[in-house]
This record gives sequence, C-alpha cells and structure tokens, in this order.
Amino acid sequence: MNRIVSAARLHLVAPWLLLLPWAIMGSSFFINVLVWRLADMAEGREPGTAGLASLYLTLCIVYVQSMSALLPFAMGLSLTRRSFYLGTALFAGLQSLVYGVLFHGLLLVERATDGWGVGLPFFGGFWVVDNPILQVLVYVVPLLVLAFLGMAVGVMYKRFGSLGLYALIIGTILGFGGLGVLLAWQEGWRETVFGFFTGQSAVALFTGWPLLLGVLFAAAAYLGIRRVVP
Amino acid sequence: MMAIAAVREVTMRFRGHTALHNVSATFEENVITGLLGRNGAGKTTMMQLLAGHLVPTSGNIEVFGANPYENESVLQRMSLVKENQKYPEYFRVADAMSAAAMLFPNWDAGYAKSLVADFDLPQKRRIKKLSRGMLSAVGIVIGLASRAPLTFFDEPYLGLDAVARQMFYDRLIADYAENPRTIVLSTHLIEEIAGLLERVVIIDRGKILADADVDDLRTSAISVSGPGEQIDQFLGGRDLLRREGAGQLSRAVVRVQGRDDRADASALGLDVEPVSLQHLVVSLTNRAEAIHPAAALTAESAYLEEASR
Amino acid sequence: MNEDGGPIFRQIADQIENSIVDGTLAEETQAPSTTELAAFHRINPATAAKGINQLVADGVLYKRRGVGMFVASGAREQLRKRRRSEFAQQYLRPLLAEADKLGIGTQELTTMINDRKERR
Repeated sequence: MNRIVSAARLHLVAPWLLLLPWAIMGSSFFINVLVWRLADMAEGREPGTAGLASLYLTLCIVYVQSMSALLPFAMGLSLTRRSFYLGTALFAGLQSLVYGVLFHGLLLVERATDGWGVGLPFFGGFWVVDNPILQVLVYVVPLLVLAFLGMAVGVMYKRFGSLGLYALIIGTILGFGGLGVLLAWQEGWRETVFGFFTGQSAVALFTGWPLLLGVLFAAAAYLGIRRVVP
Repeated sequence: MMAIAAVREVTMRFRGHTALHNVSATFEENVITGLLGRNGAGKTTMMQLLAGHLVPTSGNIEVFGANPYENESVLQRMSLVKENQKYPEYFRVADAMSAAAMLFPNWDAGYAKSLVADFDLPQKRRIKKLSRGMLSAVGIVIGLASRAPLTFFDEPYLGLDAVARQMFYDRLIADYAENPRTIVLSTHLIEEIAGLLERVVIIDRGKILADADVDDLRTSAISVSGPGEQIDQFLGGRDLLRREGAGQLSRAVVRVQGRDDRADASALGLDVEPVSLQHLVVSLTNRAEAIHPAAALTAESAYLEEASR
Repeated sequence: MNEDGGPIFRQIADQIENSIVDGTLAEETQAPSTTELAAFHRINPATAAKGINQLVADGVLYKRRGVGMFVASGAREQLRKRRRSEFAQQYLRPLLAEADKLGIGTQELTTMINDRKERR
C-alpha cells in the first residue's frame, strides 16, 4: 500500500502538469465569455458549450504522457509497473473527485451569476441533473474514464510505438465510421440507436455507460503495462 | 562470498536480433564488479534483465534469491541508473531528487545534497536543459545516494570531463569503504576504472568471455616480446591471445600458469611484461571476434575513442 | 598505481614495506588505514585490504583491536634481512649480466662502485 501511495505522490512532484488542464480550460472559458458578450448569444441556444471538454481532453493527454515519460522514470527508481499503475489509478480517482466537486461549485456560481453575466452555460448544460451528488458523479466519471483511456493509449504507445498509435487511430476511425455507414444505410437501426441514446437520462449517459468503458480501458491498461520496457 | 545476483543460461532475443546467447554470470555481494564490453555487447541488456525491466527469452534471473520481475521486495533493494535514462518533461533536478527520496527506502538526503553541490548541479534547472555531462551527474547522484544494497551504474560517466569522472570514482570509493554495498559498473573505459574493480565480467557480442577476480585475470597472462621465432618456441602448447608485429619485433599476449612460464620466456631471451587489464580485455575480445591483426588496432582505438564520446 | 606493474595489492604492500625500511614509517606506529589507502591511490578498498592482509600474514603489520593496523616491532629488521637476501637475485644478477655483455671485469666493476660511492 505504501508503494502505491508513493507512486501516486509522484504525480504531484511537478505541479506544472496539474495546472495545464486548468490553464487550457481557463482560456477556453474566457474566449467563450467574450464571444457570448459580443455576439449576444444567450438567445435560443442549445444548453451547453464544449468548453469543459477542453479540460477533459487535456487531462486524457496528460495521462497518455504519464505512461511515456513518468513510467520509465519511476521504473528507473525501482518502482514496479503494478505499483505505478495502481498509484496512477489512485491519483486519477482522487483528482477526478476533487475536480468534480470544484466543477459543481463553479456550476453553482454560474447559476448565481446567471451565466457569468452573459448567459453562458459553461459548467451547466444538458448534463445538469437535480441531485448534487449525481451531478458531481456526472463530472467525475467521464474524467476518470478519460484518464484510463489515456493510460491505455499511453501503454499502447510505449509498447508498439508511433506505428501502433496510428494503427489504433485508423482502426478507431474505421470502426466508428463503419458504424456510421451502417446507421446511414439501415434506417431502422438508426431509429433504434438514436432512440436508445436520447431515451437515456443524463445520469446514465454520463455515468452508467462510461463506467463500462472505463473498466474496459482500465483492464486494457493493466494488461498492457505488464510488459512495458522502460 | 555470496552471489547476490545471477543470470543462468539466459538468452535474450529481440525481433531480428539476439542480444545474449545462453549467458551465465554471477555478481558477488558487497563487491565492485565491472561489466566490460564494447558497444552493443549486451551490457545494458544484462542490467535490464537483472532489474526486471526485461524478461528473458529463456533461462532465469535471480536477484536476492528471487526473480526480480515485478518483485517489490527485490526491486526496492536495488537501483539501476541507465545511460539513457528518461526524465519526465518539466522535471527539474530537485524534482528528480524528491522523487528518488520517495521511492528508495535507504535514500540519504544529506548525501544527495552534498553530491549535487560537488557536481555543481543547478537544482532549479529543467533536466531537459542539462548538458550530457550534467545529465550523467544526476544519474550518479541518484545511484550513490540511493544506498541501494545492489546498485547498477550503466556507463555513468558519459559526457563527464576527466575532473568530474575522477570525482565520481573518489566518491564511489569513499562511500563504498564506509558503507559497503554490491556495485556493478558497466564501462568501456577500462584503464580508468581498473583500480576500482575487484571482479570483472567481460561480455562480447552476447557471450561471456570471462567472469573472474581482476587480479587473477591479470596474472593469468603475460606479454612477451622479442624475435618471432623465440615467441613461436615459447608458444609451444600455450594459449595465444594476441600476436602483433613481425620478425625481430614481435609481441604476444599468452596465457600462463605461474612463475615457471615466466622463467621459460626469459630463458628464451624474451622480454616479459605484465598485462594491463585493458590490454587483456582487448586481446580476449579480439580473439573472440577473430579480427585480423591489422584491424585489431582499430578495436583497441575503439575502446579509447569511446572514452571521449 | 601502475597498471602494468603486477597485482595492485602487491604494489600497495611494497610501498608500505619501503616506507618501513627507509624509516619513514616507524615501528609501533599506525599504518595507513584501508580507507585512506583506497582514497589516496584511487583503488578498491578490498584491494587495499588485500595488501594490508598480506603484510599482516608476513608479520610486518599487526592489528590492535578497535584501533587499527600497526607496524610490528622488528619489522624493519625483518624486511631488511629479507631484502638483503633478495638483493643478489634482484640487483646483482642483472648487473653482472649487463657487465658481462659489455665486457666489464670484476676489477673494473669494483673501481666503478667505489667511484660512485665517493660521489654521493
């Protein structure tokens, strides 16, 4: 347990990486505020912007990098791959929780200021639910899932190099593209699939299904990391 | 003396290239052992296997009596500073030291601090911005201050100037004298560190050429020079390691058993000289690679050249 | 330390013996420690220890518990005696061989020796 905690603490040694996602989100936020102010966008808009997504994506990338840079370094300091994995997972869990709570706090501020004075739904969008605990979960789960996705992709990159990564990207595009073609072709399927998704509550969409994906990514990362050569 | 680490009949195959061929070697407890060999001989591969960074294709690795792969209790007692160790982006020298302090149970922070000062390392500078020599110094500080009972140094002196190298050797000896531990040092700067070593493992193209006590190895051969005919006579049934020159100015490095062999050589009118460790290693390597004598000179200079890399 | 000069531990032992013979290291005084020798000559402490142990085995040094290695009483005389007996083999033999090569007879040799001694 000690080793795992030490491994988690490794992620705190260089705080720069912790600030980065917030910096990126911050810039997205300010641009959104300006645009909303100048273009008076509050009228008749779908709730929610993609601004928050910038932080989520950045975080994912940070975890990809943790596998390519922090893992070899940690192994150079005699840490086992398993401890590093568990420590990173622990850190990701705690980080997601803290961020989730922070976002919820910012959501409350957003509501109180009526969209930051310009009607901007940055932290609150179609993912808003009534229950505050569920709300935090709606923020936390996708973050955690993306962290594990990052770890899995990072392990993939470490083991199979750039070529492996490109193969993965192409495979993903083909996979989803193929799905899209299928849906475009079969109208009946399309209705079923869209019906299914729109029928889901925000909670299920953001916490239930992603959780399954998360477990998948976590397992893939753990299996892959066993044979990483630093 | 106990063997604290061993590779037993280990073969390591990568895609399209075999790094180690059925190799066996042991490393004795609390002894400074040199792992000598040319670039690409297999030194780093062997160290990575011992540290559990690689898994052998066949054979087994034993460290502290167990398989090091993903073994917490074994790994916590060792440290491997690789020649091409990567550091995370944005890590400064001080960050690397903090991380090491978190992970090495025996980390000596005071010692690390004094070493950082000795090597003139700028604590606040990003590691990515350090010169090659300073990067090596970071690795040296981590390896020394880890106080890990089994410490590996993989070509730790790259980029270090002669003054800094000497400082490394001095610190190493001083610490080893006060706090004995098992140290394995891979290098191709043989002459410089020969005095530091108690044992050597010589490796060439994935095969072990020798695994012996340094003094035993050094006294196992002599260099005889003189007329070629006399040398031929002396060679008789003896093991020739290397032959140079021609006619009156011939020289040979020959395996010997004891004083009688030396007396025999003198009796034939040959000049007898002891062989330096570097010369012996080069001779053994050349013989293993069956290099033509003219090209043998290239091998020797290769050992010397790489020192200034 | 001379890389070509034979086993290093032997060179260490020889150096200490030299300082005993010429008087710089007196009997019943402390000999350099293993750590000091290792640091000074930049060699492995185990090698330095080997040299010291050789001298202990020869009776030149002895160990005082908790203090260190000391030069034994009578060590100087013992070493001088040994070196005297080795003198003929180590110095006279090559000298006479060379003298023979150059055709220098015993008479001439004696004169040369006396001249040299006067000059010193």
